[in-house]
Formats: sequence, structure tokens, C-alpha cells
Amino acid sequence: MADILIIDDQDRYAELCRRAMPEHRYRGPVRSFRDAAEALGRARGRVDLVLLDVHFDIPDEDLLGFEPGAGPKQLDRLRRTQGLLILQEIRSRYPDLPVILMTSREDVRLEEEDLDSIEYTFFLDDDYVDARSLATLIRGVEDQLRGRESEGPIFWGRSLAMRQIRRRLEVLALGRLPVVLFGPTGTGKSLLARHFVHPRSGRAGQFISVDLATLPQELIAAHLFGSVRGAYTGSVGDRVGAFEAANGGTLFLDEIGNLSPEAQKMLLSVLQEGRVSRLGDLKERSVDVKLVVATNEDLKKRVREGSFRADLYMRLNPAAAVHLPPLRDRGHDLERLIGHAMERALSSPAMAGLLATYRSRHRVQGDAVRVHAGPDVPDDVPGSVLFLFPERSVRLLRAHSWPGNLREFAMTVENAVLFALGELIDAPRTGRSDVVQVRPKLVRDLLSHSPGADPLDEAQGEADTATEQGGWPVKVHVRQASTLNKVAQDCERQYFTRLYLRTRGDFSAMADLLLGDEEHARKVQLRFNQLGLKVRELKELLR
Amino acid sequence: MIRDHAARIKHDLGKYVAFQARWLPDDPADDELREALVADLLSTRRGPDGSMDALQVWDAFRAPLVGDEPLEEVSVDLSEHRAFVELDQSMTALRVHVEALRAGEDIDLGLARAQALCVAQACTAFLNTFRELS
Ligand SMILES: Nc1ncnc2c1ncn2[C@@H]1O[C@H](COP(=O)(O)OP(=O)(O)O)[C@@H](O)[C@H]1O
Repeated sequence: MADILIIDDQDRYAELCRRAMPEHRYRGPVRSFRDAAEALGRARGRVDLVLLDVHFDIPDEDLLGFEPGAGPKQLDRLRRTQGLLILQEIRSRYPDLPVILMTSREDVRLEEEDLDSIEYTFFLDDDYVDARSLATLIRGVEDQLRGRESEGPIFWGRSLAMRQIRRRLEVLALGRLPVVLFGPTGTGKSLLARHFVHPRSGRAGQFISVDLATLPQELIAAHLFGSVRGAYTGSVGDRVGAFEAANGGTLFLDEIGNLSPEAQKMLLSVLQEGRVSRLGDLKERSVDVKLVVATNEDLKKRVREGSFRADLYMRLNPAAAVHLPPLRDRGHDLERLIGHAMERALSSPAMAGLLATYRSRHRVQGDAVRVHAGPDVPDDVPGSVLFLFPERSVRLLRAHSWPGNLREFAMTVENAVLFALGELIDAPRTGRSDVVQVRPKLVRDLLSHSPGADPLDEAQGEADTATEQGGWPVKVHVRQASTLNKVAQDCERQYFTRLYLRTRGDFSAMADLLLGDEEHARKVQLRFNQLGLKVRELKELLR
Repeated sequence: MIRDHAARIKHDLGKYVAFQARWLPDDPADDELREALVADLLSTRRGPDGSMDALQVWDAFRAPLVGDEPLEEVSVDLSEHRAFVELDQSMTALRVHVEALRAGEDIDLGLARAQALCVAQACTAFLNTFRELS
């Protein structure tokens, strides 16, 4: 099933689609760009696909690109190319939203479309569309998106940013140059090195991973380059270093910033010569290693400060570095990511046992498992258990700041699934026994242990009941002032500040939380101004 | 100029003359097909100010192509042009079906559908002939 927004000045396509392909969910038709933007804002990333007509017979002032005083010829042109203008506008706001233009490729010239977005733009095979070919096209788009969404343990999602990272890593994996991964903890640096770069490097050797943050400084060099008996105090027997072990394969060095100046120098020489000698040994051995390094530090700054060698930094191929985004920047993919994390969690052997018990207690035959995150509840499919992350639980995850990024996220979802199932095993079940729901209360409990939990939210008690009624608890200090208005404004300033911190300054996210529509970011910003809140000062608090 | 006109023909006539009929399966039920043809052929063009049938749409586009009216201030005569003749003939063949439908008479629905699809194709061919012109 796809969630499809139809942008068309006529009802005809929408009617035909609803009749011929009832398996999808349709929004619209919306008849102008303005309405389309509003519908997309309201849908908050849930639209999978847009069907966009090209020719729009709508009132002049509804046309995108309309300027007062335009002549009939210009207006005619605007009408006949309106879909293309709308496409450009959608592209600039949603670069990664798939759009099917209801026309054939020859009928439009898209030189101005850049290559990145063209990947998300589809055309009809024929000039005129029929049900069968459109259904095939939609299925193809769906498959393509879903197929790209994840690869084994790696979730890429649908965002253009992640597609670009994937593309870059694919190229870097094959080359001989080192790969540098920047990004906060838990953003998948080591996962990508092991499960993406190494398998795609075409190298038969092993993948060796060394976490430089957990090794004592004095042992790092021996660990990396090897040593011979008696090379340093406490060394017993010859030891093969990580470089030798990874020969013909990939060596992943996590937290590269932890290398001592001495070790930096040795690493540089290995990279330059392609040869390594064990500590205390004169013999050099040639090594052929694909190097992948990761860090959360700003290495350029470390170079400027003099604590990281500039020549080593340059050797690491910084121009082609990959920057992995924190989880809170992957907003629109959150629901899909929940699905991915639930599926991963459910595939573990420990879960299989629990699930079997659940099935036999509650008489759910079969062995299929489905997952769903979001507002509606999918229908019962005989023989399958449905793990459901209802909208209110999703919202709690959305509002969390995720300092531990995908690591914290994966663990939270795994715990949520495990506890949700555990709670229900012995509970009497009425209604749909095939549904295992992750309740908001459980999610809130799990999140309260995170370092990212909002300390003010932990004012449990009454605040907690408030959440049961929807929304988030925020503790405010009610202070005396000369008028009631001033008291109220003071309170409002406090909760806007909390909101700012919680969303890390993302006004669209604030608009989404408050008004259910991220298109209203301007309104929220306006309110900030009215209250005299200075964004520049608030930014400082984020540091 | 002619190209823009041809593009309009393809959009207003070619696209809609078999819009619903095209979506039906190969062997649709009679009443379904009739309903689709009535919509496609009798309200081919729907605008804010009412609808036009396929014949009216074509007549409006046709006049400036055979010198009956200027096409954007220039007189054009395509009456001998092959792509035009084919399109015009396909519309003539469609005429009986449109009139019969309008009169509520029984018609050979399969044939009418085939003829409407034929008009759509002729519209594409017509545009393709002029595509290279600016
Ligand atoms: N792209 C991703 N897709 C799915 N899970 C991920 C992804 N990135 C990270 N994770 C989860 O986070 C955990 C930690 O990732 P890791 O690669 O060790 O992060 P880092 O090395 O950046 O600290 C992984 O084991 C996995 O559960």
C-alpha cells in the first residue's frame, strides 16, 4: 500500500485511481501548488508518492508563477507547464519525495532538473496512461524505494542525504584511498565500515576493527603494528598487529583522534610505505590494507591546535570524508526506521521463543510477524502477529533528542518490543489478540532512563497524567509580575524555551508539535519574536 | 506556433478522448464501457464554464489549421498535410459514434472505443510531426 497525493486540476485521475487501485491510500486531488504544499505539510512525511498532472486549468491567481498583468499567452504557457513548475517547487522543499509526472518523458524537457532529484522523478512510459501501466509504475516505484530503504542491518531510509552518502561510500569502498567517517556516537560508523565498505571493497581478507578509545595509550602502537618479545615492558612473545591481520582486507580504526603523536607518526609511515615493522623488529613486511577511520572529533581543528599531524590528516583523504547525520536530522524516516528496528529486534532468537509462547497462550496460529508504526491500525491477517507502534508512541520517539543516536534508538525499540510482548504473554486478551501494541507509557518509561531525557519531563506525578491526556509535561516556574498578562507571558517564554531545546531549534518541528503542521514554522517564529525571545541567545544554550 | 497548437490538441483531445475507456480492461462490461465512452466523448473537455464534446473540441482546433481562421495572426493551411489528414479522418470516423451516443442510441461500443483510441494516437502522431519546430 502506498500513500499517494494527487495534484491535478481535475477529479478524473483521482476517480480512476480510486476505482482501479483501491489498495492505495489517496489524498486529494489538490488543485494548486498552494494546496499541495499544505497537504504535504499536514501529511508530515507520510506521503510515499505524488501523482502530478502537467496541465492546470485553474484561476490565474492560483497559478504558480502568476504575475499580475500577465498576458493571455503567458497565462496559457503557465497553465500548460504548471506541473513542471510545481515539480521544481516540490523538489526544493522535498528533494527526495518520489513524483510521477503524468506525462511521457519526451513531453517535457527537464534539463534544469539536477541529477540527484531526477532519481525521484518518474514518467509515464506512454503518452497516455491506463490503469495497468500506472499500477505497474507505482509498484515499481514502491519496490525501488523499499528495496533501497535498508540493506541487511543498515537502514538508509529515503532521504536524499543518505542516498548521497551511500553513493559516495560505494565509490570509496572500491578505491584504494582511506575512508573517513565523521559523526556522533551511534550514527553507524562502525556498522557501515563492517557491513558496507568492507563487503563492497572486493577484498578477500579480513575485517579487523580496533577501538582506539578503549585501548590504553601505551598499548596502541603494539596493537596496531605488532611487537616482538621484549619490545616493551610486559610484552611476552611475538604478536601480530592489526595491520598484518587485516592484510588483504579492511582495517577499521575507531576514534582515530586518540592516537598519540608517536602512533600518528608510525601510522603515517605505514600509509606512505605500505610496509609495517613490528615494535622491536627491524624486519619490514608489506601490507595491503583498506583503511577506514572514524571519529566524532573535528580533526581539522585538532590539526590547527597542533595535536593531530597535518600530513597524516591529508593522507586520510579528508576531501572525500563522509559525515553521518545525527538521528534527529533523519526526521521523515523515523516511522520507517521504527519498522526496521522492530523487524531487526524480532528476528533475534530470544524473541522467537517469547513469540512462540505468546502464540500458544493466545492461540494465534501461523508464524508470520508484521510491524507497523503510525496512526492507523492495519487489518488482521490470519496467522500473523502485528507489532504496532501507535501514533502517540511514535510522537514520543519523535520528540526525544537521541544523544545516543541509532544505537540508543535500536536499543529502545528492541526493549519496547520485548517488554510489550512480555507484558502481554500472561495478560488476558480481549479484542485483537494478534496485535502487540507498544504503549506510550512503556516508551516514556524507557526514554526516561536516557541521558537525553528532558529533566523537566521527569516531574512525574501530575505531569504524567497530563501526558495521558495528550501533549508533553513541561514544568514552569510561575512568578509574580505586575499584571496577569506578564505572568502568562513569562510562563509562555519558559515553555517556548523548553520547546526550542527539545527540538534543537527546529522551528518546523515546533510547528509540528504545536499545530500539527510543520509548514507553520513562521507562525512559531513570529510568536518567539512577540515574546521577546532571542534565537541567538537560545542557540548558545544548545551548545 | 503550430507545435504549441498541436500540443494543445494532444492534451485537450488526445488525452481525454479515451481517458476512461483506456483504463477499462480489454473486455469490459457493456454498461461500464458505455458510461466511460459517454464521459470521454460527450464531455471531453471540462472547464469552469461547462463541457464540450469531442467534435466541438476538434472543430475549434481544426478551423485555424485549414485557413478558416488565423492561427495566432498567421494563416495556415494544412489540409494536404498527411498527419493532419489522418487526424481529421479519424475524427470523421468517430463522428457517428458521438452523435449516436448523444442521441442515446445503441452503438457498437467496442468499435467506438477502438476509434477513440485511434484519435488519441493520431493526436500524438500529429504533435510528433511538429515537435522539432519551435
Ligand atoms: N544506518 C543504521 N541502520 C540501522 N541501525 C543502525 C544504523 N546506524 C547505527 N545503527 C544501530 O546503532 C548501533 C551502533 O552503531 P555503530 O556503527 O556502532 O555507531 P558508531 O560507530 O557511529 O558509534 C548499531 O549496532 C545499530 O544497532
